Amino acid sequence: MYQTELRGKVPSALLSSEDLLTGSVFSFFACSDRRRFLASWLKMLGLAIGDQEADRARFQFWPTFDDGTEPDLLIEVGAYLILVEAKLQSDFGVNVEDKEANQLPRELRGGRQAARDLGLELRLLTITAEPFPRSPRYKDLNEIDRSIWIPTNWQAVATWLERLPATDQTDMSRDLLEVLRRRGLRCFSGFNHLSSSAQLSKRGPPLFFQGQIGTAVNLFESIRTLPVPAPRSPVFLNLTPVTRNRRRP
Amino acid sequence: MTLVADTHDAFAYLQGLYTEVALLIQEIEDHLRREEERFTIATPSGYSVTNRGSSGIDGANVKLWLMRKFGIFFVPEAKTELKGGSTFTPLSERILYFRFILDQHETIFFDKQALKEPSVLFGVFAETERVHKKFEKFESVLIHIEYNDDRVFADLPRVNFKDAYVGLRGTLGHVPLFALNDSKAVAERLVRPAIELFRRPPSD
Repeated sequence: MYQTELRGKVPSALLSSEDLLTGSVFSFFACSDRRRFLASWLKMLGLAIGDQEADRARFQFWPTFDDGTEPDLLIEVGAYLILVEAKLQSDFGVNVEDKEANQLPRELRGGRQAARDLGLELRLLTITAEPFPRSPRYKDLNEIDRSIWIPTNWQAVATWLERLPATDQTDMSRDLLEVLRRRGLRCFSGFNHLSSSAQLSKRGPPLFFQGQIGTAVNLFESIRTLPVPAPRSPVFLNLTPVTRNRRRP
Repeated sequence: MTLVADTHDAFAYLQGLYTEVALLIQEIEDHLRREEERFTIATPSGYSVTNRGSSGIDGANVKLWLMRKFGIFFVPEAKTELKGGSTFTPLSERILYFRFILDQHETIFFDKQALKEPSVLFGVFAETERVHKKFEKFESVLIHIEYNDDRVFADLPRVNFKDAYVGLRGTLGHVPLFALNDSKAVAERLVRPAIELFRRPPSD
């Protein structure tokens, strides 16, 4: 899937799809080495997960609760049921007639019931493109709910991937990072990288064929050298579990 | 092939530049949010910058096809009201203004010296005067600045502008855009001086 997107085979209209992005990011956590990636990422978010618990984690993409509410993902891992609600461009849903029917309260109710049924602790993980949690919809979470709320953003995933030790990185992790960068879902990394990328076509080889027929160059490598930021300090939601300290009071 | 490659490169560069500036704005937001005032970015018409753009075909308007300069402002969260997706900030409030000059920097003079490179202007507008009744909030002033920027920013670092619509007074500083290459530089060279201007007593 990453290659589909990185090679420009995904229709541009779909690139703003939060479902596509959710699938890309969380499939990575589901399908790659969970001890190396899932456990590490959850630790960054303040959830301590053992290696074996990570191995046994169960992912349910787009499940449906009894009332029809469909969160993006449920992850049963260790002592937790993590309900993931992902947003990219849209805000959390609102019901103008009944505040309790707003998206976040509905998902919390369904999540609580599911967690009770499984004997697990619920955690609500909202992942958005906001630089910090600023949606007015977070007012729907009362004080009790906020104790189980973990706000994060896509940019924090990119920062976490950038900071993985080189020995932990894989082709899949690098491709996911590139997917996030291409969508602008990363942190500010300065301007220096722009100057080299602008000269790409002049300094580098032609994109398809070099002079003589049949001397193909690696288009993928050329694409990869387009604007790529240097690793940087995270802005919001650091690698330490500051996410939980930066909640709105 | 050269034209094809050059066109591709030109757009790729601009897109990269715009993307990085957008991320810079988010970085500024994050820094300002942590301050005691809990600054929030104003959203005059959604979460966006304000610029004078055009898709007109005559020559003067074609120059406005690209965003060369644009503004945003921040205000303490308690001093603005969110209505729908837009903020409403009374003209009486002190606001923290940032202006991104990506091109035509040589037309901006600070202490009579032209800016030498793309820059960020930052500073404070205070006691904005309502001259025309249609100006009720600072969000409306933002686009007015875009249409009158040559006069608004004619005597920097001071701003003392008045026309038939609004009166603006303030003080701005500036920093080269490309000096902002990491979070630390943003904090030290842009956000900190901007906040110092904001917190300075009005009489200074």
